[in-house]
Amino acid sequence: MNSTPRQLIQAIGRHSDLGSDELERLMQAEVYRRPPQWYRFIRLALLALGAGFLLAGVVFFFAYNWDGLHKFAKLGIVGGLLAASVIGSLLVKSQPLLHKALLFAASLLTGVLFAVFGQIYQTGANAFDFFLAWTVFCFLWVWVSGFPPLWLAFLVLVNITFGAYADQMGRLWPKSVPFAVLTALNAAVLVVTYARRNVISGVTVPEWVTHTVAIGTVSILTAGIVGGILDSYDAAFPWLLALAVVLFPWAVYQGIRSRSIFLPALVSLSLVVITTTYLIKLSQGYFMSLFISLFVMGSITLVTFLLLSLQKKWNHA
Amino acid sequence: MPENQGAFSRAEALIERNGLGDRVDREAVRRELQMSDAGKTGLTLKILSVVGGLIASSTLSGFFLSSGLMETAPALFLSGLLFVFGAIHLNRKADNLVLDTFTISIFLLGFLHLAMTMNKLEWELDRAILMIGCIALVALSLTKGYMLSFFSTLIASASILLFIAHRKWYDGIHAYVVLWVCLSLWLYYNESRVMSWGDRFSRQYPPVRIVAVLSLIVALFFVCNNRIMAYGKGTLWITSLATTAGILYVVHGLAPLFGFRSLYDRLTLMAGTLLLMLPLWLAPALTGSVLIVLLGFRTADRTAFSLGILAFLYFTVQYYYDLDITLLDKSYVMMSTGALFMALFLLSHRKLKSLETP
Repeated sequence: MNSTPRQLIQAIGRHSDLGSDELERLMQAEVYRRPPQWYRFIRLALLALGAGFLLAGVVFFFAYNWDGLHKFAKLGIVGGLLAASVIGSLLVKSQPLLHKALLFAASLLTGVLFAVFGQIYQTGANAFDFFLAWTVFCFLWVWVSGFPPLWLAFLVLVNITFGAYADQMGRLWPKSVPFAVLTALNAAVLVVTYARRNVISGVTVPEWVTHTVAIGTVSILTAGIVGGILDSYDAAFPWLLALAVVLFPWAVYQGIRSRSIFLPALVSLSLVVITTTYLIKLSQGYFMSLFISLFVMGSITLVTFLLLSLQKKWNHA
Repeated sequence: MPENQGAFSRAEALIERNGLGDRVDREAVRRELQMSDAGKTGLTLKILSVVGGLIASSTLSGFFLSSGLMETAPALFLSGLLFVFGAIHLNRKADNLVLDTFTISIFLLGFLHLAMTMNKLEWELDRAILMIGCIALVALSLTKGYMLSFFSTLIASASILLFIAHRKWYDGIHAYVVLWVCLSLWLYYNESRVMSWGDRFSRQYPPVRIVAVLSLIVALFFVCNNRIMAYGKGTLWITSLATTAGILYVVHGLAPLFGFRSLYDRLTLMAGTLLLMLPLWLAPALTGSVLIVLLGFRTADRTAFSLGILAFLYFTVQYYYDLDITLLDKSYVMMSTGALFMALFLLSHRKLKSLETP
């Protein structure tokens, strides 16, 4: 990770005889914002405030009058907006950000359209039907957009769809099943991202997207295992363990390969949480709480030490 | 190329660019940048150590509670002091990320024990809260570690808030706002001065500043939701005055940068700003969050800037939610506000854009 100019000046400040006035001049020249940046900030702030309030006002206006609108008008408004954003996105292909933002809007509006449709005709649809339709029909725009944030939103949508399905249709399933399926699904996405070295059909996936997917995957898996330990080891629990046995070493390997301590740290934290839960399940006596706290401090200290040495090795390699 | 040498060569370029060649101990800078590569592996390890610290301190306190070792007040008190100051001592001896989990755990556990002592002694709660706050300040004056400074300041700030809440002295929330507006302004305008005070203060500065911003946001939250702390209706002006004055101070400082040099020009600029802020007089949480955004942007402090934006979004939603008019009227108010900003944008767009290239 790079030191910011501020950190460099802090280090210089500590090892020089510069007075506060000189440091101030240094900060003004190297860190603090200059007028051109302020002008840009003001311009974008005005645009964001204007567009934001205007849009919110329009949405509230329709929300207030919604019941009084004819069903044709309701569907027409949403459908019209949907068509407008798709056509608009085709017209502004030369401006990538606007093009992607419009496709993002189109994907959201697809969901709104299904919701309005369901409301008017009282389709009595199960929640997952609605999410499934949304997922299926916005897929095309997600695909052509090549816009990582939209892909991330799509992945969340897929997760919600399955969650809703499990909630309604999977009442008799062992409790670990949804956790196992969702872990497998998200882990598959994670693996593909890493296998293609964060470049998928020409688009570079930003780190924060990969990291969010990783946090989501590991959290679901951890929650599943912790729940399984505290509850009862149901029939699908071994599947969760099997996923952990495959996923965790893979994640550590990827971290080392890509010289990033993020995945190993995430895996370690998950392992500490899982082990702590298991220990609490074993006994809740006071000796055990002492042992657990020593275990947590010891293991995290050890992990930090190992990761730092790795980092140092990479830095000096 | 190793990253630290990258950092050092950038530092060298910076030194050359500003003609500071013979004033800086380059060898020491190089050593520090190399040493602090640990600090810069950044957020991942910080979060890991804080989460570990929280889990370990809660299970440790579970041990002390259930073991019966800490039945008496003296035992609790002594162990509390030992933990707090032991953590500080340890952190002084070896300030590194590896030990952070351990020091944070026993530091927080120490405060928990001190609080339990006062509970055992059946102290008045407000006296106990003040005592904890004072100990936190003493701890702050003794440490220079990032995490311990952060938690000391956080505990001190929280104890003031708890004191106000416990005493049911709800009007005091405005005093809390004024305190943090003043402290934040001072901190943001004296960064280089604090830096020149030497090693300890320059290390404590970043965590204290983050806590100042967080405290201000929490204070504004309570001002915005007066159901939780029911302050008197006639006292809102105190917060409004503080946040508006804060914004005027920032604008006043920026004026020369934008060519407003004469007294007349400056007064016009200030009057214009005041006019813009006046409609928000009854929504000081909004002006307060704008103040945070401005402070963060001016000093390129990304954390404060993002926190300010999030706070602004939240307070805006809360403002319209609380507004006592129909949804339809709300939509009109929003559309006209949006139209006003859009008009300003369209009017200034070209001019601003042309000024963006220096």
